[in-house]
Amino acid sequence: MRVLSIFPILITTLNFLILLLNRVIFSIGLLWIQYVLAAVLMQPVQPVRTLVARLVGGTLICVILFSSERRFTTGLDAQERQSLPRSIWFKAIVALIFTLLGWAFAYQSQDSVESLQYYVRLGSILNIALGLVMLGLYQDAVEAAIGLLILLIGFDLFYSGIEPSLAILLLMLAIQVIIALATSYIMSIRHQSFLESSSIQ
Amino acid sequence: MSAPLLIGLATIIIAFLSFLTRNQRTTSALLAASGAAMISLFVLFAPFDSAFGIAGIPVRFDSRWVVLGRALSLEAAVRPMIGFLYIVGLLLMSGSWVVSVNRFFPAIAMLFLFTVAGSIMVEPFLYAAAFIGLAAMGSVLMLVSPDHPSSTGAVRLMVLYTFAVIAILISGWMIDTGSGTATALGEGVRAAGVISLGFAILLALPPFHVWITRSMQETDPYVLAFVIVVLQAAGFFLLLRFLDSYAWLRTDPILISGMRFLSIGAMVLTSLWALTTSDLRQVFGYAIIADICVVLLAVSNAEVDGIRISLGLFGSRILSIGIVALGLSRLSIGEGEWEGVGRIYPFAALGILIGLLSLSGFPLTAGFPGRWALLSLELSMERYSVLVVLITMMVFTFIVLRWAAILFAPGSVAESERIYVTKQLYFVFGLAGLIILGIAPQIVIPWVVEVATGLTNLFP
Repeated sequence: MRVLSIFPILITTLNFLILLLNRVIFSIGLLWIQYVLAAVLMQPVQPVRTLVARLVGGTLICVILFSSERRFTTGLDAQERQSLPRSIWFKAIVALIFTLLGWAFAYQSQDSVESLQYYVRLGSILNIALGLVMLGLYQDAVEAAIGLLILLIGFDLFYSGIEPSLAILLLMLAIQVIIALATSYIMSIRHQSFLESSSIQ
Repeated sequence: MSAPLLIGLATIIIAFLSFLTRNQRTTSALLAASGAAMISLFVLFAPFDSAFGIAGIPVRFDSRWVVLGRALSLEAAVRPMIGFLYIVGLLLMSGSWVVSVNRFFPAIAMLFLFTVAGSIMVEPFLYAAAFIGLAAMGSVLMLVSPDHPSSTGAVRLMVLYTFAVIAILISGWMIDTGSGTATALGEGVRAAGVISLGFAILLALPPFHVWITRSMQETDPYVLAFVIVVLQAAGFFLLLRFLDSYAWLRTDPILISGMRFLSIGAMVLTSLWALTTSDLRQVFGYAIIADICVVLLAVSNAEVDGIRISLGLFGSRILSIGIVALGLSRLSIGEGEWEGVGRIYPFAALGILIGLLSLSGFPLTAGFPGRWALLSLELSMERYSVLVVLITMMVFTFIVLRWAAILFAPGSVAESERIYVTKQLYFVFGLAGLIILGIAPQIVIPWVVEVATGLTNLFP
């Protein structure tokens, strides 16, 4: 129980780092840590194959995003990311408000899912809340994808307490892999378009 | 052999062949279309769960395919819906060779269709939401292409459909735990609210239509129309299955009045938006949204007649949307460049105008018989809904007339590219189809309205 109580703090720290550090490569690494955390956390109540599925799925997703970010970050993207207003204080305040809201919601809904321990539920709700913040503040397809994936990790944790079947876990992981692939595809097309336009100039 | 597995394998083979022939657009499109036709025939007419012989070889197709304890099932209730879906695929993929869509479109469209068909086959049916989400995420590969690199609409689609998946799955849990019942009023409101949110996104009702209006500016209208039609079909069939499975939902006053309020409000909004836009593609987007609102209004009657009318309306919109999208994709021009293009491409311009008239339910077009039946039904219930439907029809008719004047405006006509007779013929057949279905809907509509009769609680 004491170990579990660290989980929401870890989740919040990781998400705050993603939000405030403004480095996509770094965010992808932190996203992978969240997949590992989710897999390890659910392991005592779920079979080992779900742990393996979460680890393999999460790693695959992060590898896709990482290689795309390395390969297809255009000069235009980098320029856009620098020039857009990204006040660290504003993001920190919004994230803090959503964290408090998530905590209050988790505290109020203690009887909602009995099969899910309080700290796991709190962690999942914080993931969903901070994923929403990232979606609200995104300026790029890859940032939106990271926000969506964090939200889905939170939902997956919550839903596995309701429906612990491997089939639904694999379906949700398939959705996340497709999100990563679609994001990678969008980045490659934008990169190609950027190269064509710069060669014309 | 398991029939769902066979359909999956056939889809992969056809998609692979379409991919190999991607540089010959006609071959690729016709391969995918004929594949969709074969699968729809198989789903509709093949005997399942009983042995029979083909050239002396005994064959048996099982209707179920069990994977990880969950099943994909082609039971009698869902077979017409899947058949209908593949016929939609056949109609829309066969037209893709007329316009210059993404080369990978036929191949990806086949996989997309199978994923959506999976949402109808899957048991328990709540998992359908995850399949629809999967299909929506995959559709990004069609919407974004080297010719159309902008991706804001596609990203919005991904985000919104993720919310829809979450809402539908959570609502299923709320219902299963007994919180969503007509008797538990407070909890019932909550469950009905979550379900409404999920379906509003799946059917792209305002304000969740933002991905459509944005994508209309960014992507090829024909590809976008295909994605919208198939995703809305998946959402529509899932809604019918929800209504079929949960008796309290059919009688829940909050959900029913919510559906009516949403559809009527959205019709008013889309009519106003369509009046103020200066882009024909946006008008098309709003016409699609207004049309799905009419379908939803018919569903909100939650009686056999209302559901049948909604199915009829849904069937007729496929051809209308297909023809408008084909015309828009054929013209493929930017905002403010519409003046006089109808004089260069008369068939494409006529396709757009008559297709839009049909989508708005103008008399003597395919969209009218369903509207007429709905108006007759609504007249005995609420007069204001009849008034809103009529006003929406008139507003869109006015918009079409305004655009007819712009498209066929006299003036300098630029040099046109060579237009092939076969492509013109495709438009002629489409236009003829719209008018024939308007005059004699009994040719197709009786079959379409039977598509969901396997849902025995909805159709006792």
